[in-house]
Amino acid sequence: MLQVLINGLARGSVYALVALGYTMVYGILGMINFAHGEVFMLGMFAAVFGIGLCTTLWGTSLVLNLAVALVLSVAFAAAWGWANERIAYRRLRGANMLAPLSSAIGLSIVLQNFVMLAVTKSKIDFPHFYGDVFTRTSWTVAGARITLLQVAMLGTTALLCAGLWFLIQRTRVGIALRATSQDMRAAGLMGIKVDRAISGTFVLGSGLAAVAGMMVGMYQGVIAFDSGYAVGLKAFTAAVLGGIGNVPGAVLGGFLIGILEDLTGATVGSDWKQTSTFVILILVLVLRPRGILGERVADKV
Amino acid sequence: MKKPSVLAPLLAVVAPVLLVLVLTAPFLWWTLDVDYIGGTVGLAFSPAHAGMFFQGLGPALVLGALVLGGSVLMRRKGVKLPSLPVPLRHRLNHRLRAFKDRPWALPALMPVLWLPALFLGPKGLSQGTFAALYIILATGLNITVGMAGILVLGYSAFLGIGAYTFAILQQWLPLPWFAALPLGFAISAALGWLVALPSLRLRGDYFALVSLGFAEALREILRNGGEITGGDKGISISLAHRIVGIGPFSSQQVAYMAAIALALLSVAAIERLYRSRLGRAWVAIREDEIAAGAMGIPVVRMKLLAFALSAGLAGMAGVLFSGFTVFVDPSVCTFEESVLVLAMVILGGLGSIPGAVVGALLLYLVPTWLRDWFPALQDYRLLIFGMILVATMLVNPQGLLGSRRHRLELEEGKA
Repeated sequence: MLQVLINGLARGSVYALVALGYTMVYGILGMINFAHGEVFMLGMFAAVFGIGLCTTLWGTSLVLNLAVALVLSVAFAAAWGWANERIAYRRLRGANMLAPLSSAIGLSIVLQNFVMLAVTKSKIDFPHFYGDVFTRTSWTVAGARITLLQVAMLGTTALLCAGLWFLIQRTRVGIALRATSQDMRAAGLMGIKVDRAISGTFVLGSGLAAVAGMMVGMYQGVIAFDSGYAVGLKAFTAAVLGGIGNVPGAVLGGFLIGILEDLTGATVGSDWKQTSTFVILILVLVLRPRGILGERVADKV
Repeated sequence: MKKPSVLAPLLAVVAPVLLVLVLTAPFLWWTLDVDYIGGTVGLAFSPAHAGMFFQGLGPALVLGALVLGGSVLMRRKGVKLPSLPVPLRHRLNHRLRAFKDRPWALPALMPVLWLPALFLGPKGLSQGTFAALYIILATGLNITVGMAGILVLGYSAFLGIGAYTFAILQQWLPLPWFAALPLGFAISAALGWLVALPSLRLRGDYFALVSLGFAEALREILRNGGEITGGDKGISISLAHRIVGIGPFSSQQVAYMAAIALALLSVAAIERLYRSRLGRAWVAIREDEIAAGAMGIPVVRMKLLAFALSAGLAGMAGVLFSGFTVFVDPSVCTFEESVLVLAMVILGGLGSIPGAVVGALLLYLVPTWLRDWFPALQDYRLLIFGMILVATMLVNPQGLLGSRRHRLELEEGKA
């Protein structure tokens, strides 16, 4: 039981980081950034390519290469997030809701198939030299095994969430973000650069997704072009569960979904994980559409 | 205000292209050099790898550019299609209007469209059958996405429900395929109603994700269904229940004629609905849900009805599909299929019935024909559909044959 909880929390930390991207974009633009799961996947591949680059440039070095790959993958995913908004969404801002959503879906398909065609159709191993150290080092706590990687994932997520909270609540950038999400027009009139705030949201969300991507790569040991699809759907469910548009809610929802998923895997069978997520999504929408922490908002159509 | 520079439009095109080229470069120009034993990985610069990608993408890009370029040209003022001599045009217009005002006259076209069945080969018949099936799917999805303005991402789930309804029931009941058509419609529509009931009350974009989740969950259920659904292996339709030849017609000819008949009937029925109180209610909801509600339209019920109808049509298509392919497995309800049909609706023009038909024909037939010349195109199919979705929304949101009213609405609020 404790083991399930630990595994679920580790998995949930990934969903939490990805869900943050969904919820922040929803909060500011009121749209579901369907391509966010693919940015997560791009971050995953960028991490492996980053390790490859380091190895080719100066050889194998555990800590240095991982750190450089992390920085590279965050930068790469952030650039993609920025470009996605710039190319596919900005022109459609304020248009009928259907337009940006269709564009986002198209983008998601393009990105997924691009990686499939350009890199590979099959799964790639995350280089195990870099993952092994983290997955083999483990402690036993009350009969449950907890690996260094799980500790690192939880720690990183906690750190990033704290940083994000500080950024949003305590800095000028955060004020701009919050003002833009409250009222884009008024924020613009107050001298806030709305375009920059929106781009910033995409960059932030994509960076977080890239960190999550690298964590999943190490955790599961394999990456594939369609990894972003399932994770994206679950992270979106997490964002809805916590109350979409609500930042702490996304984190809470992410952990809950992670635990529920491992619980389903342990009790019902791992073949039914996807169905359990969907059942949760429907239940939340029926029983409490605003989510656990979401505030009541009027349905603006 | 700065004066708009001459370079601005050029920059608007060149800058994103450059951006995409830079951002895609790492995955294109370098390949991974995996050292399995050491567990590390290196990078190798490989222009040949990028060359292969572009070689495959080339014909696909040309296809996409043609479709989009054509649609933009048709929209631009001043560029008109080569015009026919005036008297001929008048008569043609007159004829077309006769169909436009009397959609129930459409089924009269049936014998004309049945004619090719006599001289098409097996390949042509199968393509014709699938084209008709896609027309049913595209016009069906068009009700929800185009008319009522609700995005659906898991439409193929209902194709799967129809196909599996038939496949499962025919194991126990003496159920010929034509008797299963209304059954597939009813069960699929009922399930669509149930799925939509909790989620359609909310904002429309939630529903997009719910429908996607439903399709994913359904596929999982089908795969894990054991005896009942046949798991990954699927179910084959028994000899007595699949589409068989009648009289002088082969089974393929019968399938083709049935598909054409169903497609024509669906199009005619939907065209009728579109002009009825129901259709006007859907359009009103699409344009302003709150205002429509204030005018006394039962918004939730109308949306449910639209979705159930869409789902029912897909279910019917599913029965025909499994009767024709004589076999179903969980791959009928993939995300790929949903996206393909969505791309047909959006490319053709949201809310436009002729648009859905044209979109279905274009996106099914053209790739199928081109596949003979460019086998690689098959792999690039989805990439192109995704590009078409994005580009249509950015460049030409009303699609090929979109209604003018809908165009105004799509552009409203854009500065």
